[in-house]
Amino acid sequence: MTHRSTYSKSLAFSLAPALTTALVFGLPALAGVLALATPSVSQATVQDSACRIHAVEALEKGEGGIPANLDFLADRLRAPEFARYREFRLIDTLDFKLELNKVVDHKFKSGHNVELTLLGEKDSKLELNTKLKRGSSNLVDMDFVVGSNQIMLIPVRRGDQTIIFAYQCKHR
Amino acid sequence: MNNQSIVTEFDEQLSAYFDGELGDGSLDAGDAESLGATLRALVNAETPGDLDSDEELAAKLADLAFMRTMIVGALEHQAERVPEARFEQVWDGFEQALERESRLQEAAEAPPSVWQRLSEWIRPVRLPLAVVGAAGALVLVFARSAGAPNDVGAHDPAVAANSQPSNTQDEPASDAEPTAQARTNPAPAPAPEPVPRVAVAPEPPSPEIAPEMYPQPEPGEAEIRRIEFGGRTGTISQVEGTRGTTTVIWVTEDDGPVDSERSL
Repeated sequence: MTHRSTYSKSLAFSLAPALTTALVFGLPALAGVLALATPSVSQATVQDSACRIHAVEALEKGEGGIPANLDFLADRLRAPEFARYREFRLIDTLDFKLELNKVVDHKFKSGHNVELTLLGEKDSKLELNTKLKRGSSNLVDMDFVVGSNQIMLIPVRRGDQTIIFAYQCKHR
Repeated sequence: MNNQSIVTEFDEQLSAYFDGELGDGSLDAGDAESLGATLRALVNAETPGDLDSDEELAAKLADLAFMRTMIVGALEHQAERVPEARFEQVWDGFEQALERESRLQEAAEAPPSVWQRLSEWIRPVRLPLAVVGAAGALVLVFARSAGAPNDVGAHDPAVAANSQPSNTQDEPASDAEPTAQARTNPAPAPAPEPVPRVAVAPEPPSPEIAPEMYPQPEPGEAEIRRIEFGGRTGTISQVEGTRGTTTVIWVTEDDGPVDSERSL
């Protein structure tokens, strides 16, 4: 009994500083971490994301078909809506690193400018704005919501040629 | 007792009498008692008839009195000439000397510093330590000079073999034109012993940003919240593929001239 009491006292003496330190510093730190980790209404949205836009030239004359570097689009490009095109060429691939409400602008080799803005998140999907321009002409200005890693296509036709902009965005 | 000693003793007795040191019982025998009695008689005028001896004693006493007056007056005069500030100055100097001595005493009693103790500890072996240090420095200098590559070795083709094409059995022949010296002189026989080569570290690859990986696109429709077409026409449609539906925004540009880099 005495041995047990002495052991308890020595254990208490040895653990008391550590427990006190943990209480003094640990509790505020834990509170801070919980406060930061708890999503509030204003912090619920995504802060950044990444998008990759491929510019694909679609030719009505040609026999090249769909090259290997466009396999990830082959399922869409074989759809009846693109049946008129006989050849596809990947001419540009640009990455957009987006931050919330900041416009990112890249110019493609085709002469088009694409602006992308991350507007937020809705149901774990990305809410974006894009402006597709050629020179000073604004071809498309749209707000859209797209799921992560989903593809959205914007074919821009001019005469008998077409540039297809394939948007793929994801959370970072 | 001769006359000279008697005269000297008489003078001493007279000086003692003058100084007030001659008491009634101070002389204890013979002529001294008679001299003392004579002096007392002279002073006390007990025997006024002995004029010759009295006049001589009176003259000596007058001389002693004159000498006392002269000496005391001179000393008092000197004492009066010393100003009071002189005493203050003397005392200040004395106090400063005392303070200096006390400071020296405190410094002597203070514990020595670490460096003083270290120097005291090293003092007996400072000469051997200096010798050992000098020898170590010499050895280090010789070792460094012996290990450093010389300029001749830097131009050794064997050393630079990793960075220049060479014609060896282990490596393919170089396309470089042989030098004039190589054309005129036959190729030397291979060295019997392999020359040690200094490996040249390859340059680190330039940091390239790895392209961000995107997985295979997933099927799904995009929800268009707002859209404005600026071209000639615009259409929203859905493309049905084998793996799912994809949103397609068809845009038709105007046929007018544009300031683009690539003509459609």
